Amino acid sequence: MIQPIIENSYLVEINLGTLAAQKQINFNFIPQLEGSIIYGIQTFSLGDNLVSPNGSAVVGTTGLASINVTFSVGDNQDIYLMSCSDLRSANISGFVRMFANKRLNLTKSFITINSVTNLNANESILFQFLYRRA
Amino acid sequence: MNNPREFNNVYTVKYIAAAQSTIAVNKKNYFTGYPFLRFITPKAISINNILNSAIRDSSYINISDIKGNIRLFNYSMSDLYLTDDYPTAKLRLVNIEGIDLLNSYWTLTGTPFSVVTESTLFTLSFYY
Repeated sequence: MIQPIIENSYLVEINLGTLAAQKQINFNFIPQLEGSIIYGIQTFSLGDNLVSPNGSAVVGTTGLASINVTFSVGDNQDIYLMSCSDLRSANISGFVRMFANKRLNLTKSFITINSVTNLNANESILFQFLYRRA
Repeated sequence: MNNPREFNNVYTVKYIAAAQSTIAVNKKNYFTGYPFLRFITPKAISINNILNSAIRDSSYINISDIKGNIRLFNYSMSDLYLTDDYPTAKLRLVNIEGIDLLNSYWTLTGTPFSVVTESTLFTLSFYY
C-alpha cells in the first residue's frame, strides 16, 4: 500500500448536535475544497485528538464505528455509507485511505448516525481531506 | 514502512516556551527564529518530543507556503507524531513548494497550558 504525498490538507468538523439513530448531517460548504481534487480522507477519534478546533469533544474510537459517511461527486454517491472507523489511520496501521481523484460535492455529502451507542451529544467528528487544486 | 522517498537533509525546529508563560487557547503560536528554513521544499514532516500529552491531543498545525497559502490547515498534531507509543505511525509525506515557516503556526484547543520552566514543547522536523 502506498502513502499519499500531501499537497494540501484541510480539516473539516461536523458537530453531531442532538443524537438520533439514522440522523443525517450534511457537510457545510467549504470554499477551499470547492472544485478541488480530493485523493485522501482521514478521520480522527478521541484517541488522537481530545478537543476539536472549535473546542468540542471529539467522537471516541468506538463511537466512530457508529457513524457512516456518504460522499457525493456531482449527484452520484460514489462513496456510500463508508464506515468512519475505516478512515482512521490508527485503525489501519497508520495508512491514509486514498481515493481516485474525487471532486467531492460536499454539500450533498453527509454522515449518518447508525446508532447512538458510544456517542454523546454535541461531540464532533473530524475529517481531514488531502487535496490538490484543479 | 513503505517510504518511497529519500531525504538529503533533516532539520528540526524546537518550539520553546518561556518560563512562567501560558499557551492560550486558540492563539496562533508562530514559529520564530528559523528564517533560513523559509524556502525549503520539505518532502516529509514529523513531530517529536512532545512535552505533554495535552499538547499532542489538542493541538493543530497550520503550515503556509511562500505564496501565503495555508497548505496544511488545522493539521492534527497527533497525526504527525512519531513515537514508540504509536507503533503504527507513518511518516507523513508532503509536497509543499517553499514553506514559509515564519507564517506558520500552531494552535491549542481545550484548556490553556501553563509552562513552569523554559521548555521545548515539541519539535517539528522537516525532511528535504
